[in-house]
Amino acid sequence: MLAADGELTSAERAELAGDPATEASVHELGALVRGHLELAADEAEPRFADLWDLIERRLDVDEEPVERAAEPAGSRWAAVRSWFSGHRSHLATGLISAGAVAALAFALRPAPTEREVVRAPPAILQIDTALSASPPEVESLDVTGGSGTVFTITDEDGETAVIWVDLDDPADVTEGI
Amino acid sequence: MSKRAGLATAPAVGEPPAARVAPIAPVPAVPGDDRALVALAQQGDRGAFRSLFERYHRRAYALAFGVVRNQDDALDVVQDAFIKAHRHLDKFEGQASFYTWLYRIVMNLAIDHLRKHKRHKPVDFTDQALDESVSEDALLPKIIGGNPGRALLDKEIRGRIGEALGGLSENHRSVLVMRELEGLSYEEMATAMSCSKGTIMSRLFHARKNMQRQLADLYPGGAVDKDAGDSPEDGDAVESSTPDASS
Repeated sequence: MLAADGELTSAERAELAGDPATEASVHELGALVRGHLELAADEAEPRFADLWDLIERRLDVDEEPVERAAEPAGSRWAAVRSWFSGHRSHLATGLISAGAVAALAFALRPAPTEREVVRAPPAILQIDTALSASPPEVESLDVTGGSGTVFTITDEDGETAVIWVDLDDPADVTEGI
Repeated sequence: MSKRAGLATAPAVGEPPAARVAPIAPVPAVPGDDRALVALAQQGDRGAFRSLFERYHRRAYALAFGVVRNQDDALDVVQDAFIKAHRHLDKFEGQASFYTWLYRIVMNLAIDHLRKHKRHKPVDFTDQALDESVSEDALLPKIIGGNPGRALLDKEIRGRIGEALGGLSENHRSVLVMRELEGLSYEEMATAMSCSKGTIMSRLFHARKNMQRQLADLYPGGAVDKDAGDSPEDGDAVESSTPDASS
């Protein structure tokens, strides 16, 4: 086989008695294999033109990131603008969603009248009392069904006595003190 | 050392013309042309790379087809090989020829493709330990018809050759295709397949033997024993049983 494949040195070839028949069979087998593959290449010939087109398209894809990186950076404002223009749809979706949530929250807010009733302070009774020159002082007051506090407020108009009544039962309105 | 493919043998008088088989690719008139094209392609000249493609795509296809034995798969392998070559063109230093570098890519991709898709049919022969005393006499000293080009005109013979190649293991088929199509030396094949020269010799020997066995009925007399066991797939264990160099 080495002789058939030309792997022997000239000295080895001279030394060895070759087997021409086996050598010929090896050569023939090789020729048959070569011929078979060459004919296969012939059959694929019509597709080779498309092959280059496919390769070129992939080479174009390979080179795209390199071209993008080579572009000039531009101003920061241009970058911001380009970012917005690239994300326009996302921004619009976000704004619409936020508006919808705000509208829903507004529509579902509680009725204001209930709050006014809840927030209604207990009845406050103001009585003009004899004002004294002494500073305002806080006094307690016994009230049926609750408790009261009397304190005097001094302002630019003079002094005002305020009686603050806390009722045990807010529904129980006092007739007067 | 390189055996150029091509079966343009002159027919004898009165005989039909031999099969018209175009050579795979003409050898460039000036080997330096490839280097110049590679240098231009490395600088981004797409036209130069296309010239390299035009020169070697057919040969690369034949090599790939010899291994994967399917037209679509072979075209995929060739496409991937040229893409890979282009991507790594900057690493090509020019110590070997461009095609030498390319065919290694093609072979590796073809073998990877086979392993990934497992299109290869298992060999029907049973393995047996290689007889250490095997001699060259195991290769048939017979020929089919003496004119391979004429033989290939016969579709049946061509089909049988294709089947016989398919009946080889991927390693056996690879070395046979590299040897017969590319004319590589044992040393070059050992480098390409990352194995020893002895392994290459063993694989080549058994590949040819198996081919002859599968084509036995085409030989005059059909004297090959088809029931004999097949050769082992891996030649690593048989480095010491180098086939006799008597032929």
